[in-house]
Amino acid sequence: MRPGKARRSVRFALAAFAAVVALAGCFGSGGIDPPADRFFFPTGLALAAGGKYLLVANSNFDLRYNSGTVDVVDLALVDAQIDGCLGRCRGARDEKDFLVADSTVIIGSQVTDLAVAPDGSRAYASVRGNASLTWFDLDEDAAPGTRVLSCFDDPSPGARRCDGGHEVIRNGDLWLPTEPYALLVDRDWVFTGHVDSGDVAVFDVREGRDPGLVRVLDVFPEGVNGFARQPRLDDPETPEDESGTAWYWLVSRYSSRLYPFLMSMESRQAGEGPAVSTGPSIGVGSNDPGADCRSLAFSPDGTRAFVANREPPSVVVLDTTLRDDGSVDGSTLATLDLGSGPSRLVMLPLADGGYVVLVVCFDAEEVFVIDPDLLAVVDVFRAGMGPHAIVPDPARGRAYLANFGDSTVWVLDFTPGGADFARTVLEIGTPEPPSSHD
Amino acid sequence: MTRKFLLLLCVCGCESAAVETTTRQMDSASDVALLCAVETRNEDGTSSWAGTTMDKCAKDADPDGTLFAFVVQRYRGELAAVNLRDRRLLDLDLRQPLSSPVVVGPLPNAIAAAPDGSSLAVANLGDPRPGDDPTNPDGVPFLSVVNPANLLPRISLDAGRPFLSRVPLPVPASNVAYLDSTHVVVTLPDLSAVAVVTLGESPVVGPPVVLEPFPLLDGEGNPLPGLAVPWSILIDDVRGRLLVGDRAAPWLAVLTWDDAFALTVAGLAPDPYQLPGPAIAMALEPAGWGPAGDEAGRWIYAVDGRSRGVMVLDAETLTTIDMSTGDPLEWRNELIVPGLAQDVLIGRIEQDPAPTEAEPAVMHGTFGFVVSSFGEVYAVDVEDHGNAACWDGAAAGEGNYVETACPRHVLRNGIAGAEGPRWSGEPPAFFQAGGAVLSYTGTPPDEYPRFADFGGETPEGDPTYGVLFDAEHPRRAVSQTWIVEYEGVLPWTDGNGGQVGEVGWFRDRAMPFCARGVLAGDILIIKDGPDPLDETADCSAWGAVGQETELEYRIADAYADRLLLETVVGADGNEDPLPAPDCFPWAVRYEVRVGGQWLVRGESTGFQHHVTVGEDPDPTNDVPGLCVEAPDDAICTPYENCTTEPVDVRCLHDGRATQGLVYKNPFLCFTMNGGTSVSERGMRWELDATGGFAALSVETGALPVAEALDLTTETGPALLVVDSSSDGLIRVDLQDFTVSDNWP
Repeated sequence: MRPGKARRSVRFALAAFAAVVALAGCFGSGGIDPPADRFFFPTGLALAAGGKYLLVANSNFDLRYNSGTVDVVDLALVDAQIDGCLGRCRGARDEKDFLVADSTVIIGSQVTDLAVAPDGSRAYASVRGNASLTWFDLDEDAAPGTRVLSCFDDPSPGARRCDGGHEVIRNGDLWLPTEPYALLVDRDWVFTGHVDSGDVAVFDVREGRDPGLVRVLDVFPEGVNGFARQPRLDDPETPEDESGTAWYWLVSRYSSRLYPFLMSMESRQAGEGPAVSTGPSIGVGSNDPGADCRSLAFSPDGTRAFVANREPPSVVVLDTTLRDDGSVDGSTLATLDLGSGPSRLVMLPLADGGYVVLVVCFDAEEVFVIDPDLLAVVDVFRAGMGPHAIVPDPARGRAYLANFGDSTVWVLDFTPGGADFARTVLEIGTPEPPSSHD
Repeated sequence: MTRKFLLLLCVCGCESAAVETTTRQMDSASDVALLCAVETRNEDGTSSWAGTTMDKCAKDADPDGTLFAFVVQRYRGELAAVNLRDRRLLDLDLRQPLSSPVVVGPLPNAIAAAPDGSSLAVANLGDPRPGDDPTNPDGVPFLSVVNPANLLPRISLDAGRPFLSRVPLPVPASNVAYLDSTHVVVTLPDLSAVAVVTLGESPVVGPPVVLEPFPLLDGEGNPLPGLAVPWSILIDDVRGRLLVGDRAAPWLAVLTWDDAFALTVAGLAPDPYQLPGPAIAMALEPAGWGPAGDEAGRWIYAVDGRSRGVMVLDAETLTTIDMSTGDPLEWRNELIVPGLAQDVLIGRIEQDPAPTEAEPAVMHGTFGFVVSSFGEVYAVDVEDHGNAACWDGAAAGEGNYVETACPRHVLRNGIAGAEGPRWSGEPPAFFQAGGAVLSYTGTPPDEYPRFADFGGETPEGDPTYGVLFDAEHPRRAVSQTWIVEYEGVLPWTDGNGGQVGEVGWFRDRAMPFCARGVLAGDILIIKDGPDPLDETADCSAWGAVGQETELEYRIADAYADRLLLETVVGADGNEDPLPAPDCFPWAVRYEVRVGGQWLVRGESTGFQHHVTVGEDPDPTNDVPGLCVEAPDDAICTPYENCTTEPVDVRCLHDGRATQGLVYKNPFLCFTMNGGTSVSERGMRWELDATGGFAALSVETGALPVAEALDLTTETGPALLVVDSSSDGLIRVDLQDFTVSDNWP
């Protein structure tokens, strides 16, 4: 199949899915159970805190099955495979050879993002199909034959559906809004951003408690699309691991601004859980119109924000240095043109102490590598069909890329000075483009 | 796209329809260079081409050259060419369908043409991968050198022609410029160096000249700061020097070269080595354009990689010209355009015949052209050519609008006739706090505050209504709506996370009060009523529990993240007691209003202030410094009248008008007098100003990044702009400053 034809089919799948949702409005009732050993339209990736496992969220976007899943990839098997190929493996590998047997869990369809808590004990997924925050217990040290990932009380192996206790859809009369899309997991709080309303749901996970929906913020613009936590190494009052005083930022697909906010339990809102202090937003001052911000990430010291913007397709670099008066500098340093449809952007620390910024362009099917010192794109490489989710693995000098369109996960090498820098060294999953509707 | 599809699916079912699509010719264009070439007809009916000097592309030149624009495309690694005479995109590779470019190298970032047209050099920022290219198995970075004679149209019938040679480099190059027709200089950011490449049959790469650490010491033997990421290059061959700008360091390296083209580091510039920002792109006024006719280029325009404005440097001393002294709109010391300046050029444009009237869009004289990331190109009068009297080089002053008729280095006004600022046809409307609307037509009722009556008329015959613009200098006004409101809300001070502390303290860690312009004497309004944890607590002094309210306090002291409050008799006539934490244990919503003053805000220019955080008297505690005005009132003394100039230009950045005193900001001046009734919170005048300065610009795609100037008399004058996003190469006709063609 020619790439252009495949892309059309992806879009058709998106449209068909939306139509099915509109007409049917139900999920997971009967139908075909999803496979436990296949990627199918992956939309979320997350790395376990200890680096042993990669979690892959499969969205079941074409509703071929009655549910989505989260698979567990054993990265030791990935390492061995790459070592066996002397650093670069050619050809696709069957994903089932890398999955941890009997650790797949079944979730609602249309999962949009996946993240692991900083302490590594849990993972979370935002799921549009059942409008839930679905959460998982994660045990990296699980003995062989026991579950790495579970979302039910029964610890026995096997692919099973998450129970209701692991799907947070409400807290009393407070309901999670529809269309959870963006996800940010920190030590004390979990946030979901909702694309159709601009709502931000706040979940309290302090001191290891089960996630409880405690607030729904409605002060942000419609189309909340991405979150990031700003490291504040320049502010001694804000230690890196103190999420209680951390600044969070979000972007929206209908806005050209970045919105900061702080969380506080000490001065919580009457009857509404934690207090949220919203700071003055800063604008993407380089692009016209500059709306449709999709994703953002900060430099390791928090003094620069990188924003993936679609109008026009670009990465906008902003100075987020804290001034003496407590305000953020906010000036725009650069805007770098990209291929069409930038969707996700991550910062990858490198072994040499530097870092690069990786931007995934869904429509162009390319990944752009940005050198923050040059403020320039220094590498571009082809991805699979419809690349979307990406997660860095700094310890291994890698990143993992999920190709939504052909249901594969690629392993990208970012060893500084290495011959394979910014190159795919392993393709996991048998490419399976969406079936044609022409 | 998906929504449209879905709609179609739902409403119409399946239906075939014509699909419009653009055949893309260029993609992610990153730079452009112009080259003149001459065609020779051979006896066998074929043609051959040879690059030549630019003067051969003049009208009636002999031989008659053709001008080509060569465009590099960053992500495809390709080179495309456009024949600017017949406006056709060339098919450089006949083996491919459509108008095909050719591959030159990975991530081409810059292109330059030899002065004699013999070659083009392309700096590739990409690092080739070992094994990807059989002809470059080790993945050695290289400079691409293109032989235009083998690339131009008819010769391209010969497949496999040797149009491209690769000069191996130690690391990828970010930029390239020609010293002469066979020597180019390249910046090598990975080595913090520059190097000279000698072109020819066997190209030679000279030793990299490392700029970090800088190879020179200062007069006291201390190391000079270096250029870690050398990026831009400017060759001033008349002065025999090469300037290198850095991506981050705000200074220039000055180098010279000898007869063998060996580079020598001469020093840093300016002295002391401090520019407002790093120079990431530079342009020099060509030699011979000054009054004497034979002097070296006088000005350098440099894109500031920090502010992304344009610095103006004296080309002799390499010091920046302070653009802030004359025009408050350019107080940042630079030429500021919407978006980020991406590239800049200087050129002298002479219309033939010379125009008799100085219309804004008619380019006749010396101009700078600034490419903005906003998809626009802005014109700068290097020497004011906004009126015909200045065309012959009348008295000029840098950026000074006040004293001279022919200012230098000013954004060109795009308003025809430059009629100057004035009121719109709609007179100011007076809004009472209660919502009634009064017009300023005629005489406002005495009981209401109003602008002082200066008793004059504008040149257009409009009443001034006591608000004055500087009609002689239209750049001092912006067409926008002004709102002048008594005790108005300071913009961006509506918070939702205020914490009530003991004895009048109020804190919101997310709100930078000083940065928002809050000062002692302003008013804090708490919008949430009490909501005690202890239901038996008596909080009735602040109203009903859990209800919205408006509790008013005077700000005794303002700090970066907190306020110290004191009680005040509020607008409702009541004095609310200081909030107690027991009754306000939760975060509250709030806003800040100016106290007893008129807040002046322009819809485009916003609320201006010069409030900053003062010195922290005790760094051992977490209380930051006070919010203070800098300069303070001792310097920013009241104006006697509207012609009084401020002692410090920063005093003009003020959005607070005190009743009965002259108020002045960079845009307007007035005095608000009280009426017979006391001014009430929320009273405001709202008025439209028109005829203000609007920079002359032309739209050039979505994300333009570079430009070239066609000053030939055959196809020019024109500006060739490359848009990295959508429009490819765009030709701006400088006869009327409009887009005349593009190759997307």
